[in-house]
Amino acid sequence: MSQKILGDHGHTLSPVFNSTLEVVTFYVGGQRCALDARQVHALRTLPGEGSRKYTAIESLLGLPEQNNACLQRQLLTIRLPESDVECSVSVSVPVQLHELEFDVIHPLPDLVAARTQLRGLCALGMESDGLTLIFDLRNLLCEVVRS
Amino acid sequence: MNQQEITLDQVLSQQREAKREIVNVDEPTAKLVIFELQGEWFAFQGEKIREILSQVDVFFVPGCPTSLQGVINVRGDIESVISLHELLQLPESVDISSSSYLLGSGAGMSSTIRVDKVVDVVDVLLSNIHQPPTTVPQHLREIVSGIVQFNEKTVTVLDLDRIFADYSHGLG
Repeated sequence: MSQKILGDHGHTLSPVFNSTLEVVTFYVGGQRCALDARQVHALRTLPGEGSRKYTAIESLLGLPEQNNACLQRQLLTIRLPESDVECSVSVSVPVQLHELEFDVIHPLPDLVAARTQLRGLCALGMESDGLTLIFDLRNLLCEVVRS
Repeated sequence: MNQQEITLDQVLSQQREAKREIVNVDEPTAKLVIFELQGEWFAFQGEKIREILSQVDVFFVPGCPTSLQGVINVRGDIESVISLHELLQLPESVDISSSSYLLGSGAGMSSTIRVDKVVDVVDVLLSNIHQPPTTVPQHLREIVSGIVQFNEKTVTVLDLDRIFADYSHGLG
């Protein structure tokens, strides 16, 4: 998305782009993780034992399992914008909407990309308050649905 | 005049000889970054090391092998941090507060390597870097490119291209 800006004397200035990516953040074992908000369709609170019915996002992403019994969970419905593929997973609170500046989003370093066991990890967000693991669920979700 | 006093001819001759000697030692050299891991000295070719860093914040990335200790922010670029202790079959250092980080490039990749201490950056005559002896342990044979003596210690020169390539394929 971009727009042209005209200066006082009618000169065209450089186009202004959206400089942030909207992400949905959640925490696994104190580690902040994020999904592109366009891949998140809905979020709702799970009643008491409800989380047991759903796959935990940790197992989907290959992150260490948490003791879900003592954590309040919410149900995150993931849907890929370009397809009808949909999947609901439980995730620990807090789940928040967050704007990540483009400048702080980095591709995975070569050796991390080569050796990570996390599924769908595609980028890192480096902000002043710490690191965010950014996941892209496109391929992952298609695999889940196929299986 | 003292009989042992040197004549002008002798002085000039000595000077010419000294110049000739300087020319004689102008043979190819290699820059080495020598570092210490658990008391043993290793080195990388200087051309492979872009920067030596200290006092960096390492951010843990879950789901990676223990030797991949996290990532650091180098003036806006994110680089991985690996430890060679496991690869070299050395015990992991307990105190990492005084560690240094070598930002290196090899095999088309870049990463920082955490080392216990940087010993020196020196120019070494290529002729002083010897082929690794056959007694080099099996686990080091593929990644050792040479052996050199420095300050009366043996320095094992490591092949960073090979280390990064092998590491990306699961070594260490």
